[in-house]
Amino acid sequence: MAFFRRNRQIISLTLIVFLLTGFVTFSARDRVTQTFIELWIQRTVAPIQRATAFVVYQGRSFGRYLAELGALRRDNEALRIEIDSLRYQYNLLIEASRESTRLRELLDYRSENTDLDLIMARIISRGLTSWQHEIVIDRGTKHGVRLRDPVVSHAGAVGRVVQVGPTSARVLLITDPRSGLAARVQETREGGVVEGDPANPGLLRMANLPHDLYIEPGAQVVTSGLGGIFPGDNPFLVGTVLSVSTSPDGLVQTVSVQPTVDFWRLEEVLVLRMWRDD
Amino acid sequence: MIKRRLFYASVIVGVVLLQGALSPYIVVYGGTVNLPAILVVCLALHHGAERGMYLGLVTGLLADVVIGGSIGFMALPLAIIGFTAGQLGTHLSKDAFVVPVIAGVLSVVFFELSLFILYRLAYGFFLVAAFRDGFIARMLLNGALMPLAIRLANRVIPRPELELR
Repeated sequence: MAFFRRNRQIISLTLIVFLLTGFVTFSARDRVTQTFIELWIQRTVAPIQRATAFVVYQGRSFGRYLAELGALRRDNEALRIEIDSLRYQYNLLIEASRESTRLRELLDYRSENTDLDLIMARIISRGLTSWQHEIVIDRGTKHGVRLRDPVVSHAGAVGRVVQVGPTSARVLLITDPRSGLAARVQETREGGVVEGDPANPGLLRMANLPHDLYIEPGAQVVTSGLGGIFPGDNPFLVGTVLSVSTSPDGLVQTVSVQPTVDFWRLEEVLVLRMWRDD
Repeated sequence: MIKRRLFYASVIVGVVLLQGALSPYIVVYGGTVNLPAILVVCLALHHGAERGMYLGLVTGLLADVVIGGSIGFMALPLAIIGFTAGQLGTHLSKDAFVVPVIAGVLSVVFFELSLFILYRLAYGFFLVAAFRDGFIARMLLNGALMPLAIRLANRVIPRPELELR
């Protein structure tokens, strides 16, 4: 008895080893059914097992998400730079395409009007506010530009040169209230002076027309050549009649004209050299 | 007493469940973590050979039932590991850094060897590839985890009764 008490641990271990070896031998065979205890334990533990697996899965997903976050940030940064670069290149292409279209239109206009001596010029500055209806072009006396030379685009009259330097010139647009441009309604041939409408920046007006003139909205207004700026034998489009209003006393009419040239989008112009003082 | 047993029971169940759910994802150089072995070594170092043996037996049986395999495949090595680690903890200072590492490494070596031999005895073949592939990594990984586990166990596990030493 004392022997068993003294060697209790070793004896227990030996017994366990034998017991488990028996278990291994028994359970290693192809068992079809499980014991009641196995089933009970598995059934009890299964929900907790599922919950543990779920928690581990979620934790792993979160861990993977955190791990990927750095890589995602780097990728995002690289992609953003690439997008900016592509966007810049795309803009360059778009600009080139639009410039090509505009220049083609100007060239077409030039080839259609071979009797006119035209200088192609690029707008290098423009009035920033609605008060300033002026532009600066990159052509000056060196290129043959003179004071009061008319400036046109393929769409119509643009303005006249009011200041000229060796390599640049300032052009007063027809939308400026200070500019007075001799014009006429194309269909009815009624003439007047077109100037910038101070009340409606960007629009033109023909003021002080006789009350008995019949002018319809939609009629074309062209240069008449009477002011000595634009050629008389080659009229340029100025705009389209928007509306006609009579003064309160009923004596005169004022015609509102929408310019045919889109001044905000204008980038290249043509300077006419056929009307020179010399 | 009942509280303590409940605590151990929940720790054992938790570790076995975690082993089933977590171990496929903790792979370092082909080596997987053996949480039941680590737990048994920790408990045995604290509680001595006899209690370590029983805790190993219970942990192993539960792992056999829950994780799969034949009954006794994990229980047998874990019971022996528990006993041996308990003896080691009784005769050596478990607080020394080297003891838990050696205990961890040896437990994994023994565990793997036991399974290797048990498979041969039970099924008649050696699972050479299962034993060989990642064996060193498993040994080192579990050995390296052991000091951490011991440190955690020192904080969590209630102090054992002296007479059980």
